[in-house]
Amino acid sequence: MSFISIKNLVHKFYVKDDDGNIIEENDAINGVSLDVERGQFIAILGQNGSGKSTLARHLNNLLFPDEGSIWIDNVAVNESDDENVWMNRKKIGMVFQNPDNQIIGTTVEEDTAFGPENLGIQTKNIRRRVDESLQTVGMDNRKKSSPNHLSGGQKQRIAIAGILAMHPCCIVLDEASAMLDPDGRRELLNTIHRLNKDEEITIILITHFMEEAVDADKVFVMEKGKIKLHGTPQQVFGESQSIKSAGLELPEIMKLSLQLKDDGYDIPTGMFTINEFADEFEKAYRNRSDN
Amino acid sequence: MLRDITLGQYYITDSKLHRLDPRVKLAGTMIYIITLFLVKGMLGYLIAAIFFAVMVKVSRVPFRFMVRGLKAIVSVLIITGVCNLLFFNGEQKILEYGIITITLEGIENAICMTIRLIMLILGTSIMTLTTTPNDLTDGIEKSAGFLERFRIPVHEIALMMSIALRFIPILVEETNKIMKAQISRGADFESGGLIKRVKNYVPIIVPLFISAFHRASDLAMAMESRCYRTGKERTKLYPLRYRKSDYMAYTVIITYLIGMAFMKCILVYNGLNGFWTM
Repeated sequence: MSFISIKNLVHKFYVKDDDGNIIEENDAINGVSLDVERGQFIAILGQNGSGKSTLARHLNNLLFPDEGSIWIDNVAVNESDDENVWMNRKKIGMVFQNPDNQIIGTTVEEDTAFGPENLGIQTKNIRRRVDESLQTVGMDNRKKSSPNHLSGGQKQRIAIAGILAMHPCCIVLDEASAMLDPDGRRELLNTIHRLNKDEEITIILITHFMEEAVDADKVFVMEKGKIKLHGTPQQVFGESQSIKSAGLELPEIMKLSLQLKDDGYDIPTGMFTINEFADEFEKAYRNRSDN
Repeated sequence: MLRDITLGQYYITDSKLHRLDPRVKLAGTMIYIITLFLVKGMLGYLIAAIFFAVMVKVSRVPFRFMVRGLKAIVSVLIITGVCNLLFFNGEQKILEYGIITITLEGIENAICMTIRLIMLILGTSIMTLTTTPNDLTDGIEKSAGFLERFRIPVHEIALMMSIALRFIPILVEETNKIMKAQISRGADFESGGLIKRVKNYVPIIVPLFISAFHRASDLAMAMESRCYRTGKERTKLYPLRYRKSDYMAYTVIITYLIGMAFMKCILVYNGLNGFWTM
């Protein structure tokens, strides 16, 4: 069985009136099934309100299914079993959108230690874990700093360090780059790609920036609580019409190459990197001027 | 700039007092306050002042930093002094004018109260100047641990305090942001009478509260996702541990307390207590 296995997940939000009667029912997630293998880099794309954040919260047991089931590491998620919930949160860490609202400690190292402290790990081991994780995210020189003095990208790296210190197998990033500037976003992406390659940590990246998904092993596109498309980035972005109808935009380079193709250049459209594009465009341009 | 706000008034330097366990400093401050209320005479205050002066020297905090704290309470000092002077019922009348009677006891009492208050503020400021707010919370948590037995959630309260400390600069910044946003829409915070001005602040307070609740809910989720559970034993990156210097500090403050109490007893026994002694 896969590391994470979701079967026909349904999650409903209820709108209640003052007496507690349900007046409206919204399906935030409506029958989602997906499997994630250990060590994979997964991207989940979707517009606001497509249900991707709700899905993320299910992975961290912050929400529980109304219907369907979730299996993590071959154990079914069980809402009533505190130990089970606790183990799952230990295995799967989560980075949230707002960098300020997830830092608990008053110094960088105290915040990183928060997770291990909750797990009841001995002081000298906490010290070691904190030092290791801060080194991994490249923040070991700011140990004693107050989080208030850090940039957004640095804060998100601290948040990742706080999760790493709990020795998880998987990190879920719930639009973690949405509030960052381009530099901060690059910092964050480099960090998670390195963690995925070097530490073999499974990454589930939830985002609405297409560029962030191009290096993923597998991409899921969500729309209105359902999975609309899934596959490798090449396969998914090949379906340019479906992507557009899901309210998403293609990566810039793909958009450009599609436009060039419309203008009569003989150029492939499944490219994601600038270098790849430059080579192909050079070829296409030569061919055209030769004719 | 705003992010540099330091709470309390921690003075960054390294001294024996800075390195002491916060529990010792809490106990020391308590004892110092007790002795201030134990004595009521010049000799007693002189001894307390010497003890205080030694502590200032050890703390390596410039004295003028402590005096700064006094500025805020100058009015309180004057009011208590004047009230004691005018309304104290004494025997030896010095001056009578209408309903105002100034007595010798009144003067003595006013002087004692003023000295007591000044020394109280100065003395407690040594603790806040040498201990970071976080250490202080840790110290309170540990020393009030016995209250857990009475079902008072000491640990949770301490955690709330330290989180509140962390969020103060963030919320201050947010207040400024909202204020600028409202000013840009024509809000006026400067003019009008007191009541109008207070009313003018409603458009700041409401959005500020809403955003604070959002932050609180986000933070609670982030804490849960990092395995925080109430009522479970947690370990600490920096557990409070007494060292040799802490035991020595305890000895010093307890000796001071016993010495003061002993002197007071002897003076009272011999009938020598009064304004000039203790």
